[in-house]
Amino acid sequence: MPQDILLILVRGVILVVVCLTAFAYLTYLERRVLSWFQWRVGPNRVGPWGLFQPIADGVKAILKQELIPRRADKVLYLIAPIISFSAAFTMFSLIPVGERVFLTDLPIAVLVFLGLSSLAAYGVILAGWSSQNRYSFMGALRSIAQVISYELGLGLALMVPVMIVGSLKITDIGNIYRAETWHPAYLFVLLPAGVLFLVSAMAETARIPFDLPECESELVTGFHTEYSSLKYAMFPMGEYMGMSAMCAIAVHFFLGGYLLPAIGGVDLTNWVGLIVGNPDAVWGPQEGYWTVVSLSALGLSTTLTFVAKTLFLILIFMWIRATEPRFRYDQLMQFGWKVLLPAGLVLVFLAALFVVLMPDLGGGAQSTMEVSMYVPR
Amino acid sequence: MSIELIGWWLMAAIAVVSAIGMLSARNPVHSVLWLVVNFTSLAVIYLIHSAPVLFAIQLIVYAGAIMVLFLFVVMFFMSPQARQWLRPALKGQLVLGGILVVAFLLLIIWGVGASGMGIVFNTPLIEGASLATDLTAGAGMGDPRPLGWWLFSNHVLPFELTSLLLLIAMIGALMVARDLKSEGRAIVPETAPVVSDEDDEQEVLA
Amino acid sequence: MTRISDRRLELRHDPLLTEKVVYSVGPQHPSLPAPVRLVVQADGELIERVTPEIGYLHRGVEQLCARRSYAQCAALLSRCEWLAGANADYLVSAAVEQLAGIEVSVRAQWLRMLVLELSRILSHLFWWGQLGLEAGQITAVFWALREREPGLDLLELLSGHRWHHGWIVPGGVRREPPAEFYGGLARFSGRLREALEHFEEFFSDNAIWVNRSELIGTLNSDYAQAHGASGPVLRASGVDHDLRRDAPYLQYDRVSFSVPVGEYGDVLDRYQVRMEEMRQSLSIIAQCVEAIAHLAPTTGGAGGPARSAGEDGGHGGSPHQGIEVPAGEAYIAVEGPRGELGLSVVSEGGPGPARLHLRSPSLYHLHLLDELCRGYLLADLFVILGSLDIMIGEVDR
Repeated sequence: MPQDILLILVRGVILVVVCLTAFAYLTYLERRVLSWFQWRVGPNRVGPWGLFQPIADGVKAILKQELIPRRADKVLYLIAPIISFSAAFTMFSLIPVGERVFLTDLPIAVLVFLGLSSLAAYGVILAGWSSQNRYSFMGALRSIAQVISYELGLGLALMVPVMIVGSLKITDIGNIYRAETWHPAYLFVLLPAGVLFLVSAMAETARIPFDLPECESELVTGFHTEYSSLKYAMFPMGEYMGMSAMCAIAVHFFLGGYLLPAIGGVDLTNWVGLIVGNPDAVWGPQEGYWTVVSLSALGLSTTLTFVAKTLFLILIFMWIRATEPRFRYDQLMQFGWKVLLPAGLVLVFLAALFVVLMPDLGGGAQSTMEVSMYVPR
Repeated sequence: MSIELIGWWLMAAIAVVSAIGMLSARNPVHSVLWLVVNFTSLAVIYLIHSAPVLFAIQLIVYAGAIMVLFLFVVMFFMSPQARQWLRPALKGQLVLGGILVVAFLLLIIWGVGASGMGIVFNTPLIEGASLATDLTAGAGMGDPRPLGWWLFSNHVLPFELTSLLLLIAMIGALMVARDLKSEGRAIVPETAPVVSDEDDEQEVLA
Repeated sequence: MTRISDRRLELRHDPLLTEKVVYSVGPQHPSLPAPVRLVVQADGELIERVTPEIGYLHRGVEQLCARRSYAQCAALLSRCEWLAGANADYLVSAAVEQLAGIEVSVRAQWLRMLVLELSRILSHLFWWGQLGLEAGQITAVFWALREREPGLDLLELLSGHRWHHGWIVPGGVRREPPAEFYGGLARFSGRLREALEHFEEFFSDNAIWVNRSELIGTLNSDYAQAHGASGPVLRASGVDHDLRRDAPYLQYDRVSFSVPVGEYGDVLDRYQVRMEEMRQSLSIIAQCVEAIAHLAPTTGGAGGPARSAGEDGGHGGSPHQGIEVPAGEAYIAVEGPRGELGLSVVSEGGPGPARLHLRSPSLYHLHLLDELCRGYLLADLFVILGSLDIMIGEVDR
């Protein structure tokens, strides 16, 4: 029992450290990428290529004077950033990053993920409401409406691969992209679902062109107008982590997870697995040392693949941020309810049809068979 | 004492405290938030009882969706400064309510005892099982598939009826909120009446 | 592109009798170019009334001008119209010339035209970037400033100053442009012509932008004329009026250019009119350069200023500081980047005006906001504001 707790603690610390570093360098990356789009240089003064800029930013954020509006609801005002920050971090702990590299791999990870993403909304809502500012309040209102609306598209898009695979476990869904289970027919439903997911995720994480809860030109900075110092910094932290988590989930569901690309029908992951993951088959029986090496090689190669894929999606998010103007609030709602939601419903219907009509493919067949075991007597 | 049991007692305590908090909070927004805490601790209790699907659903549906909607509505009417204390509308309401609460509590205790499910009091919680194995094995209530199967086969009629009921309630709410008489008439044609900004400035000064 | 109807929402009696919200936008707000306060009364996000409160940037320029020489007036007034300071310089010079009966050489007139059109382009570029920010397009402003920079360098080459150059002086221009000016100008024009195509891709073909601007903030031509709108705002509403063509000054009657006119007076029209104006200005600049090439510099360099006092001007004393302007009244108007920029001068003789008044288009346009925003959403307010291209320095003088 104590070693379990210790393990959990160690994993938690690893998560937080990795996430904080990732956050810091995502801000750096975003600033550099945006400046490339905008014909400027971006942060390049602090350290080599400006690499220490995030540290300087962090120190600055911590040392800033902390202001709390006198008429704010103090408890909620203080809790709000913590909620949005920790929800995003917890979201990240659900996601496996490589072959056998994960903190948790829950059988209901998809549900927990959706639950956390709706809980994260509380941070925004409470921040806007408690700080007694009309801009903040308006930002909070917009945020609730936006999160509720786009959660639907998000959930429906996630349901498509879930239905095909018949599992709510993230690694199960990622495994559909292995060469032996993959079928090109999946593309017909998975590709549109992936687009739907990315659009909804962009709205859910309030990125341009959906950044209405905090749109600078209208609401100053929206729900966190009244925040300062570290409490202010926690919102972007949560936001970036939320965005990364969304991208990571998208990678698992629609981009083949941490699997290396398959070339000519041969899954590279299997090759790595074959050569180093299963050394007995290649070099004969070996001792524990070699197993560790081979497993870490497999873990490392898949983790790097995963990070690369996630970064690719994040870069797409940044690209869109640099090029698109912002939606208007009512247009956003209309888009969510009249375009994304029906599209999601149609996709779910198609996926159901797919599972029923082609039971030989993938995990769908398996799941129906398994389910039939539960047919009540 | 297993870690599950510790967690259970902790969550139970939080659930009770947050329920009391919800009732006694003087700002409705705080009430809503206490309820969210209550729902979340309930969700964790489900998890401890090896029902991760119920946990997730409790989190998504109750703590997530429904309470956000509650908050959405309540937030419109309440400023963070507002403190309201509802006075009882009927004479002797509090006494009657108290009696009913005690009666209900007794009923629950009796019911739990009679059903032989006095889990906490009689038997150690979840014999031999641990949270970790349940979560990874996906056994019993941990599996969403039987739940889905039951819901969409045996109980599909009540399920659909519930959604219909909710739809009717929603349409009804819309109809109540809309004043049909003034429909389509522009009351503020050319110039809108000026709302004084003085209140705000006084607020700021206050 | 056909547009069907106004997208203005009907303000209706609120059956729930909910409270109206009053947003105080400004005086400090990320979207406002300079301090001004907009009191926005709204039903939720639906705007019912916008009341601009001005005066946060009041510097008493007109009063100051009544106690200064004409040269100093020009310097002060160019601080009101800071994105296109050449207009203010020209207004003061033209007023002095009219009152004193000074003839300006044709070459100097062409040079003045060139600089006026150049500053129109620079001002519009700034507007374009600002509009991008208001619409949530964060890249536009950097693209715009990047194209604007070589233009500012050109002005610096002319006069040594980037914004408030004071190159146009009574009697002509301060000095002949250096030889490298024309080469730089050609490069700038060529680059900008290309950049404008990119700009169009950025906005005009963007579905989100068209949705944000089409039939938003519509201004009908009657209302526009009745309330003193001018310039691109007026033309976008379908009124074909341009001082450069209808009341030509300088050599505008000798260049050919078209005046873009909108149809609906919405944000999209104002946007397109300004974009087209930039192209037209480029063509006018090309014509100016050609005309200048055919005119020999007059003696004294470039149809130089009336050097009545001191040969080189130097510090403190402007070349025309000592001008004695006879008594009289003059009203000079130019088609500035934002609309009809007029200067009314009353002289009682002496080196400075007795009274001076600037007719600034932004002041009129700012007060169109109430009409333009009513029935639109709060988010539209900022796009509409951006499309009007209001300069607070002109509003508060």
